Amino acid sequence: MERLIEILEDIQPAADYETCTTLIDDHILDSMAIIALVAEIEDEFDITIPTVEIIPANFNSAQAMYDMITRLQEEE
Amino acid sequence: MKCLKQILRCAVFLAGLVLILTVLHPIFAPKNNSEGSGIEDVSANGILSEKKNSIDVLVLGDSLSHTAISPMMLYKDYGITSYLCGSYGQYMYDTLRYLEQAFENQSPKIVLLETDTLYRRFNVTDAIASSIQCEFPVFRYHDRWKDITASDFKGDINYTCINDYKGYRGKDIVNGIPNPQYMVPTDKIDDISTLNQYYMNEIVKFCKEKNAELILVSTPSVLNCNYERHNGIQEIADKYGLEYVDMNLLAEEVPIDWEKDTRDKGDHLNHEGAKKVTSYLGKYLEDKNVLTDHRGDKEYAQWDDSLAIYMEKIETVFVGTNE
Amino acid sequence: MSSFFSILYVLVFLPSVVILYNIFPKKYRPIVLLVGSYIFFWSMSGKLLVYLLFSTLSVHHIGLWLTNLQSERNLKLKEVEKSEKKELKGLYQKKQRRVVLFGVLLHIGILLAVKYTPFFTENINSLFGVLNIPITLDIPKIMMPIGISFYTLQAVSYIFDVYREIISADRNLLKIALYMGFFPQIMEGPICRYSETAHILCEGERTSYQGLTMGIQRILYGMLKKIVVADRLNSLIKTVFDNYSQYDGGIIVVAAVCYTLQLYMEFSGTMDLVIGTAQIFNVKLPENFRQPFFSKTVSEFWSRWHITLGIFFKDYIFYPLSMSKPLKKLTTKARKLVGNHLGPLVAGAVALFCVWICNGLWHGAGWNYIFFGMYHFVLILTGNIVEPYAKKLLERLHVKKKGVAYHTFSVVRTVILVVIGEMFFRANGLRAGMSMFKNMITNFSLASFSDGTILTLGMDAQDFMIVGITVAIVMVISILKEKDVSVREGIAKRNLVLRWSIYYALIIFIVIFGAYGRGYVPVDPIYANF
Repeated sequence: MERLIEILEDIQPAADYETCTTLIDDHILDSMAIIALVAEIEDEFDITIPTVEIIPANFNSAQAMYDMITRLQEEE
Repeated sequence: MKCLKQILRCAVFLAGLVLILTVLHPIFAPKNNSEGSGIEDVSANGILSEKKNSIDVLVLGDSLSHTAISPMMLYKDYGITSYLCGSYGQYMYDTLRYLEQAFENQSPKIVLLETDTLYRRFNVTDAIASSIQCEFPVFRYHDRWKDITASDFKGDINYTCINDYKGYRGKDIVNGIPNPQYMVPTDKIDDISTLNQYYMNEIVKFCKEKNAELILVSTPSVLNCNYERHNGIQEIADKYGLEYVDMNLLAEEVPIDWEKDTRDKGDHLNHEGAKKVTSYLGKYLEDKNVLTDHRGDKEYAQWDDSLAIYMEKIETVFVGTNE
Repeated sequence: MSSFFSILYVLVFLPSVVILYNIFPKKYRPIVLLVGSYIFFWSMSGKLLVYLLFSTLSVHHIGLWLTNLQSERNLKLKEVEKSEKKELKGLYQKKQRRVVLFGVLLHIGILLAVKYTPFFTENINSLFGVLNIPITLDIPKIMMPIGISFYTLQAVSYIFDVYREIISADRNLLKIALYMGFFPQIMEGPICRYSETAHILCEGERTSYQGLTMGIQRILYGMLKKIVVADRLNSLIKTVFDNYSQYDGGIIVVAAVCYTLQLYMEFSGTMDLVIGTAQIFNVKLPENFRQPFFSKTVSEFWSRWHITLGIFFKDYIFYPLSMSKPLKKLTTKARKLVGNHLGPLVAGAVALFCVWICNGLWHGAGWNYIFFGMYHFVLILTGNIVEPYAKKLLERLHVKKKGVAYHTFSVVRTVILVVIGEMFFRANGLRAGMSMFKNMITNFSLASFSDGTILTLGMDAQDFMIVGITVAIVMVISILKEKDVSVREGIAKRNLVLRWSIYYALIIFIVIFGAYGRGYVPVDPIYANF
């Protein structure tokens, strides 16, 4: 989780990732940020995020992203 | 129960709407039939200012009618009082509307229908739109909101605009074509659309009810007439037992010289052509022996005034500026 | 029926379908909807209905094909050793991909053939001309079935969603047929997902009183936008765009603004009518507009204008492309080379380029549409590149990014950029657009306003006034919506007298001030031709 927050801060510093649950809905993370984020997460956690997973619900909060990552890791 | 109540509520709402639309009409209706009053087809609606029951012959149709038949000439030569409710691109639903409107204040003995309008196609939407406009005229004249004044709210209507040509809109332009062969005999029939047949039926019914004789007339036109259409109209005439005069086939009686008598290469006639058509038509109507010669009748003094103006204008300058 | 705003549709077709729908027993209601939909399609495109029927059948079949492959795979997965699983998965993915490719190429192929053949032949001809090859291909006249651009995208989205296992393919052909052909949305969208509408379309719930009144309310609001504003602006726009060389920059600006306004009023008005109609049948369609003119950036504008198309492009083009293996590698490399900000933009730019070229082409075959797409590609990419620098600059200048002044500036800037883009979009060809743009900049003057030329273009002072009033009404409603105040529910909650007065007033306003009847040419459904 801390690693994830670090990645997020690195990509888009201007947000409070601990609490915010509307990262996509409020345009905090735009589509370009998502590209960077996915590339970084895949590198870091050694998973592949399929396109199906790229929906607002999975990226609206750090927790949601973390849940997705763990789920994908288990599926590997 | 609840459902019924809701349906009832919708009905009440609609009734209210109908009421409002009806109340709006007198405000938006044009208050005169002059140019600038906002009324459609000033020429055709000129009949609204004619004296009650003074018109014996009513002519309906599209531009072929108002370029080919001159009511004033019929009056001059035969004493027949007629009015021409023709408008550009008239559809059959307009024709029916003008017919009904004319009979509100007049009781013509003869109704002439120029047949070109029978072949002007339109779709169901147009027909519905037209009948809605007839039920709620505010839809036809809503655009008058731009000119509305306080007096419009009183709703007084006064049609004062006498049309001295009685609906005729001839022109003296010559743009001829050499010797066209357009009435080649055939057995083929150009079918009249179902919608047009429906309105034809309504017109026949209406005339019967009002005891007026309906006569179908095809005035000469190279572009709009052919033998297939002749056959189609003849079929309709036979179906309802109507007289049908196709002047396209009367080369001797109506000797149109297509090099001189048309203003747009055989589409419409010019004033010279109209003279020939009207002259034949006058004779034809006189032979029916049902029309009164109103010349010299004091009641029809206004017609003599109009005739004077007509003669002066028609013989000196071209008729009709409203094209 | 020529459009949703024709008398035949509003007063005859729609009421008949609503009444029949409710008279029939629940089981048959979806069939009533489908028959109504096909009658509607037939009245627009006649025999071209076969295109829709073919697409419906093929989508149904391809969906089942994919699902069969998936269940076959799942069965085999249970049997094999863990080590072989990955290989098996890969094998089936390959098989599925072939099916998807076939399905997508089939549907997009039909769309391309119907829509772009004239454009391509024309350009091949001019290419031959340049190369002095004495061949001229006949430009075929192909009739386009109504809504093909919309239902094709829905077909593609269905195939993808089955492939991605977001939904499983439906055996129920009726459901798929309704999803593809539901009459309110067939002409101009919104572009729906199978999971959004298909199920509810087949429920056949009776029309509720609330659904009916709210639906009609929404339809009336749409008519207000379309008949009072969009149609009234039509003659001015046509006059200026057809004879642009005769007018100075001031008039061009007015016409460009009017066109953007017309496009919004026409399209969003139609969407109000469409969504309202669907509401009568208990179907909640996705919104296509979210007050786009309050956007701060062009990118945000396109997430609030024609939303469903934007989402389609994002989900089926932008992300799949930018997440594809080669582009992912590119992103990782680029980030190391040029940093976190610019790195992802490289791959993003490639994907964005594809999105906007598709967007341009989807709107029509013509160089001005391609230019329109490229224009937005450049604007959005530039916006992304300069964003952090702009932020720093603002901080230096002590401009508050959230302050009213900067906010207003951003909104106005976005509107200007959009208006320019839409001007190219409407212009009669790219050359005309360029010339208009040049005229707007170099030949700008206010003379036409003072000497009255402005009132000779097909709109008099009263026309401008009524447009102004209506736009103000729509604007107030939009502002309230933006602040999360729902005017519609507000009205619905009032007592009967007030509520009915508002409805009556709205209807009478449209009846009197609508631009219909003699002397008016209603604007054709703009998006239906895309």
